[in-house]
Amino acid sequence: MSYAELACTSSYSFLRGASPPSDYVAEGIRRGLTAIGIADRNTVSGVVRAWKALGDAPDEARSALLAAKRDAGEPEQLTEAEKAACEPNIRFLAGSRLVFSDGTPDIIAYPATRQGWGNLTRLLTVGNMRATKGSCILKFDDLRDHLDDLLLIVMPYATADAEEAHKSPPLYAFKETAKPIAAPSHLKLVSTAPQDWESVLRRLAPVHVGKLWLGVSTHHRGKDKRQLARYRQVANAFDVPLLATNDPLYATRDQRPLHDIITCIRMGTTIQKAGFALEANAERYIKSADDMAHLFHACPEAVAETERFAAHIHFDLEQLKYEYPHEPVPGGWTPDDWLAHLVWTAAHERYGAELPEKIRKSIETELAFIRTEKFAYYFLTVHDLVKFARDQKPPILCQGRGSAANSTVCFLLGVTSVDPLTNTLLFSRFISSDRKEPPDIDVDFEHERREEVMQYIYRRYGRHRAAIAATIIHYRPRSAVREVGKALGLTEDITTRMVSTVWGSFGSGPDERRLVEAGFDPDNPEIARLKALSEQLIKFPRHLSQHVGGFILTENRLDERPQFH
Amino acid sequence: MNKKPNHIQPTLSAGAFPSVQGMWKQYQSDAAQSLLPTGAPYVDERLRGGITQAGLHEFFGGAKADSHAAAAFALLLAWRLPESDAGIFWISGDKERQTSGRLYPYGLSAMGGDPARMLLVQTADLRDALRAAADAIRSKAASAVILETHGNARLVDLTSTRRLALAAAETGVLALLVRGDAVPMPSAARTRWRICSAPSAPLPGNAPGLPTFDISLLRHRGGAAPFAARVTWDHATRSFFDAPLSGGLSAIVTDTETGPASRQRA
Amino acid sequence: MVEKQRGAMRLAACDPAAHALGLTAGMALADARARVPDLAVFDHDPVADLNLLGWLADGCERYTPACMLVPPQGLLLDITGCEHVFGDAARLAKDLHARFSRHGLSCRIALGRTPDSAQAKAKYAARAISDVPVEALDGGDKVHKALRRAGLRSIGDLAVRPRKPLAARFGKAVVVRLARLLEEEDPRITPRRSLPIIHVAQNFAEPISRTNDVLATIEMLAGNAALQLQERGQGGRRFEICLFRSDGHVARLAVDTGTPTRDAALLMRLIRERIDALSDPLDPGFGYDLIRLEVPIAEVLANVQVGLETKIDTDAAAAALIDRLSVRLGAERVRQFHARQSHIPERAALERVAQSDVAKADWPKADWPKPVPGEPAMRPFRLFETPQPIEVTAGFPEGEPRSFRWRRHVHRVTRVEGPERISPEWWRHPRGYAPGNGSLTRDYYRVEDNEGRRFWLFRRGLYDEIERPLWYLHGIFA
Repeated sequence: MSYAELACTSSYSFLRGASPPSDYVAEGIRRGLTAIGIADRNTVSGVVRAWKALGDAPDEARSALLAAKRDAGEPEQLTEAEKAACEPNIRFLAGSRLVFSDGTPDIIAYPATRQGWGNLTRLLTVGNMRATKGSCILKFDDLRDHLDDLLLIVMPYATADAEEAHKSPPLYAFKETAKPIAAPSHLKLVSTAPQDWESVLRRLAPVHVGKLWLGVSTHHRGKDKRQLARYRQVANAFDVPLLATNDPLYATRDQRPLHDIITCIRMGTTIQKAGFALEANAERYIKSADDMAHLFHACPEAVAETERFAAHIHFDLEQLKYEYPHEPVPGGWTPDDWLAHLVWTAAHERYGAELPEKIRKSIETELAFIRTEKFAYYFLTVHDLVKFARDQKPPILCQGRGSAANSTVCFLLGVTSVDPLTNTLLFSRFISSDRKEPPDIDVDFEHERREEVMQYIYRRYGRHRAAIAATIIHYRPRSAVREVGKALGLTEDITTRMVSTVWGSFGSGPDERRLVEAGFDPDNPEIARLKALSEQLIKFPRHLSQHVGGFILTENRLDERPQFH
Repeated sequence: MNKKPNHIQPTLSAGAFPSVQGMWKQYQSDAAQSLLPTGAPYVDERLRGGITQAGLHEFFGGAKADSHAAAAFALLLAWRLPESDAGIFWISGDKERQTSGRLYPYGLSAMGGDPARMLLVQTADLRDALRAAADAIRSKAASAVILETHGNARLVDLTSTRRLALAAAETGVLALLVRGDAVPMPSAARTRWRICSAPSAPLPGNAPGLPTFDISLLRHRGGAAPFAARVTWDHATRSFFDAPLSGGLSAIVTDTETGPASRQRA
Repeated sequence: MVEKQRGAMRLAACDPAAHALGLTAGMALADARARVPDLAVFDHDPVADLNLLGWLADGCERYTPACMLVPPQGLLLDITGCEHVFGDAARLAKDLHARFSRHGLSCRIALGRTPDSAQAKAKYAARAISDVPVEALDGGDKVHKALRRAGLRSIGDLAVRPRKPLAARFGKAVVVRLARLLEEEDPRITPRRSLPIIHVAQNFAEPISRTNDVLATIEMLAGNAALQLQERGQGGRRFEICLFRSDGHVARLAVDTGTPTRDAALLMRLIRERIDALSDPLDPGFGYDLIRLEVPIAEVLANVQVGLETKIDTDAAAAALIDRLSVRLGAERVRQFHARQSHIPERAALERVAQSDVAKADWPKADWPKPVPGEPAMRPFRLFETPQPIEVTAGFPEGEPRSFRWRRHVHRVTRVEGPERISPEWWRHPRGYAPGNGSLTRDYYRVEDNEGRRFWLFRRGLYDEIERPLWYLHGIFA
């Protein structure tokens, strides 16, 4: 029997999941699952990591095998069969667990197609815009407006915490929809949201035929059999199939203590006082197909259903490619041609009808490179911004810097001011090592007038296509030690002393020598425990924050890709 | 002149002329004692309404292993009393604790009781326990007092039980004497019961069901005839209901049986 | 009395008879023996002396709780407010003197308005402070000699002198001490025991020994104390009764209450309980000649009328009953349930002493979980303190129990539900966070046997945690 685990909560569900997405992928491979799905709470920020981990898996497996051979004294070569064995036989599925603020139970959503992915991220954006930075407030009705191409697994419980509403959500009208966004009202509407999983099934089953499942798990909580019978009975009545999941909060059973710790951190309590807030047992890890078959021997179809579910999904993250805005290119021109036109015109203006050999050569090389890598849009967008700035009266000062100064094209577009005629430019410096990504062009705008630039961007492209990139802040060693210490109930003076032993921000945890210097006994089991748990917490996401000054401009609606915050 | 015959002369002090209302009240309080029904229709019918709320009742176990059943049944009965701030006092001795374990409040609350309204008195010996029970009954701090004893103690005799019974009658407290592993002997209790554990109607998955007892009324000072019955306790309604003796499925009102269709109707 | 002083055995003290024969303290023993050959000599035992002094102070507590030792031979009693028990200070002194004589001790008693003046008068056997010699100033030999050379021999001499020049010539300390002796300044003494907030006493010319009389007296004192408490707006939390026997022995009884009270009737009930509960009954000996009631601990108790609402009555009645039973049986035998948040069953529920110093408001009003309709109880009616080992036949690997043997009786399982898996609280062991540390998971099963009895069993340890896990019976369901 084969099995796919579709409800993994990773560390990107802040302080809820105790394993990074890569751990889930690794454990899924180890257990021989057919597919692994990461579905974090109201976010898709973790799926890229998992996708990347899966991509790296063959290389890692090969390296590990070679190292093992070296240790065993065997020749460091892999046969075809061995190479094949290093290829993981697991699919990665990207989704999200929708957690609602109106009492609706959790619903896990997987996009079946690229359009479905767009729907999902748009839905999450709706929730993000309603809440303060980092939170998400979703209502059941929001889901109803974004159902297309989403496969839904209804969970029989809700895990929402109280969220804070945004003080005043930005009002903007999408060109496509005429629906205005209402200002928040002090009146509390009577909730028409479904308050239990039966109601969810009742409301969704008729409108979402064939794409609705009821997710069920058995965690040895005493009444599994009875509950399963109940689920089956109700789901049958709505013609909704059961889908078996172990609803994992961590990849392996050993990570339960870490999960308890992050629960304490999240709730602001200590491990001694947390009581019933902690899980009673350690069953919520990735289980094998055999384990799941055993647990669900009363309804094996629920386990088989997981594979059927995965078969419905045709979407892969590979399908997401970055699409630039079209504005900088006038109608009738292709981006490359327009860029070439701008560049040659500017060159002749500056150097005359007969271009110096040096200049002509570099223009040709760079344009060829840009054409091959399809970076024209990128350069044109930057040029557009710079042109706007220079056209203002008085002009807004701006200057390109950094490695962009090595590009003739940039100079001719007016982005940089290093004359290639009088200087030696090394284009190779400009190109990044990873040729997939366009090279960095940093442009500094006059600080006091940067708002004008930002406003121009918003006006030209619309707020829905420009966003300040959000990055995820991770736990640094210091904060990890402090939070874990607090959760373990250690007194503040001990945690402060431990924190002070941590070497810098980018070390990996308490250094043993410095521990001794600070008066700790590294063999003291309490200290050892604190060290071990903190080391696990480092690199876990902590919250979102704004990346300083970076803008993302896109062709399609931005919220179809990463989420708005 | 019409002279009132002596035998209907009211026994009040000379000079006080009793009102008709006053006489009626007194008559009523003598005749109709508050009765506590169990909730199971057959049982309540046989009891002619229920057990006397202001009185002493005793419970024996069928076999030694049924002492828990006797204790549980008594407690469940006490939970049948109307809600009040007065609590339930449970009095037992060191010996009982040793053999039977301690009352577990999560189990009590799962059966519909309120552990916050209970007070536990654990005495070194039976004499102290009897005395504490009497005090508790007289204090008006309790709505029910449950005394659990161990073995065939001689100290629990007509005299001591009469003291308890009188105190209960005086103050209106429900006094329950649990003698789980003893044999019935003369006492002043108003009713005497034998309680045994009985098989429950299983829940889905062949799971053990709700608390079920085989109860036998052995003696009733008010004259009700002895009878036997099987009852199950429903914590949702805090009431017993008649359970069939053959162990078939009974009409329990549970959500497990109703489907969405019937819920839509409801 | 002899002790070693300055290298030789010398007299530490002499009795009046010895004095009469010309012996003095400090005299060498050899010399003393030379004068009085048949001198009776005892070893000076300062420790024993101090103990005796303490015992005497205990006895003096009958007069006042404020007693202070002034070793080696003195006692200081602050009888402010206590004289009326005996009539007046003079009578009290007389009684004291008589008491000492009965014990074969001679004493010098002096009264004064301040501790210093009384002490000085007693020490120097003066009737008035003016007669006390200047040595009472404790200024040192030099100062005393200087004063005498100046013609100042007694306190009376100094009293009429202006202070400033005295201070200038002999030091400020002398002047301060003078003021104290002359009753111009009044430092309080430091009593041996902390003073109670309220104390009332009754003495008897004829010692009483009948229990009823004793109780009647206590009741009267309780009424008095209650009045005083009412005036102060307070209620007592601790009450102490001191019974002074005529032969000096003192018996003390203490009663604690959970909430402050000034209800004399309640107090009497509690006191009666306390007396009943004594392992050795009170022995009045030849009778008690003084009974005192002290309230060492009191708290604010507003003058609130007991309302007509039954709730307050019930709470009050419950509190009173709890107090009563606690006094009689011991506070730890009267308990209430208390919840603690833990998944481990035996740790999640405790019993706490009902009568507690902790204000009831601080008790977490335990929110016991409400039952779910249609759900059977997942926790048992009764729990065994020690899980009972049983032998179980169960399916393998993690199968349900099919039958089990407990106390030599075999139970056939007809209904079963489980497992409810409860993992150990890993944080309670220092290495519990690491895998393979040896702590065991419990799998609980609710079972019903063929006789209709319902049990709570658990297997201690998963099969991948321990090779041969054992089974236990933890509780009984109704």
